[in-house]
Amino acid sequence: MRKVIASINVSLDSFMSGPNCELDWHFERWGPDLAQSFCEQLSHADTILLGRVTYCAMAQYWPQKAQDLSFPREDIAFADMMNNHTKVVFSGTLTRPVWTNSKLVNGNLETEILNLKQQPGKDIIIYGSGKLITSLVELGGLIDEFVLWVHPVILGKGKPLFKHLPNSLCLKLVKTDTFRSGVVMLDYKPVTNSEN
Amino acid sequence: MQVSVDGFVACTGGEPDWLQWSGDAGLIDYVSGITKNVDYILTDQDFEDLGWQNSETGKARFVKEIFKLKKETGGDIIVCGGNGFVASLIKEGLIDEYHFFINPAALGKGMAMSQSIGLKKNLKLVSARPFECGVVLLFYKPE
Repeated sequence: MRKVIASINVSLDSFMSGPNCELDWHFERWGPDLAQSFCEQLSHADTILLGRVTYCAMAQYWPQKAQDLSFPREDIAFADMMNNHTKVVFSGTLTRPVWTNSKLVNGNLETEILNLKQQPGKDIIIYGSGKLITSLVELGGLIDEFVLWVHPVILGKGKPLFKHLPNSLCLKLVKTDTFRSGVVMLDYKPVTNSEN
Repeated sequence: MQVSVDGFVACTGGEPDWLQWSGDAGLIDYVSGITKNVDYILTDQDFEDLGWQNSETGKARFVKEIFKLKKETGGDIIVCGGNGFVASLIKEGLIDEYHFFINPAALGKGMAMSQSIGLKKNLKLVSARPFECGVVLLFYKPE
């Protein structure tokens, strides 16, 4: 079965973005080594799952980046994958996804994810999409790996990771990595009940 | 500071069940290392015991005391806890080292680290170290 991996940039105080979706603090710490790690992760996937808010932001950003000649070369490979991978967007309000290779899904979340996981293919990545991640955690057992990219900044306020999680989630540390700009990658798997 | 992966802080007074301390020799060694040369450990419990509460005057008085302590010769001072008094020290630039122990659990609720820090702050990563029990130490200095 295909793995679902949530790959999330967070501040040290676990915000995914500023209160108005500000992401300036991501860009400040992006660099060749981090880009390479993101590229490697995305190359093991062929599908990107997104909630509406993250989808709309990315759909505005990535298509033009693939044509931007001033964009660093190592980032072009990433932009190409972002544009060419299949995007599955969960939304009850979006009517027409405009980004290439996008598929709109508004049925039962659990059924749709289980269906996707059972299809042949590479990993499925979730970027950002806080609400979607919380819903999947609540449903239980649908996310196989959580990769947190912890940036060396305390934001003080913003959109929290795992907002309104009803039950706590036990994790098992798989690996860590450190990048030149001070970003630390923490890779976790959820602990299933049988391991407890 | 002991925190969960989603940024909640363990407060003093009652060890929460998500903390992963027990029996990890590497982690115990590390903590002994940073506390070896310490003269004072101040927690939010001390802060409350002094009756300073979470008022602006209480915080100002605390900051002044720490400032005095820092100027004295002697060992290091550790401050830990979450109810906002650490924020006053950060604001005044009185913290020289940050040691965050990231525990492998997401809680969804609790005392948020942001609440205790209360402002935007860029830090410089000194080192990151995973321990056997799954806790990751993130060591930062002010930028």
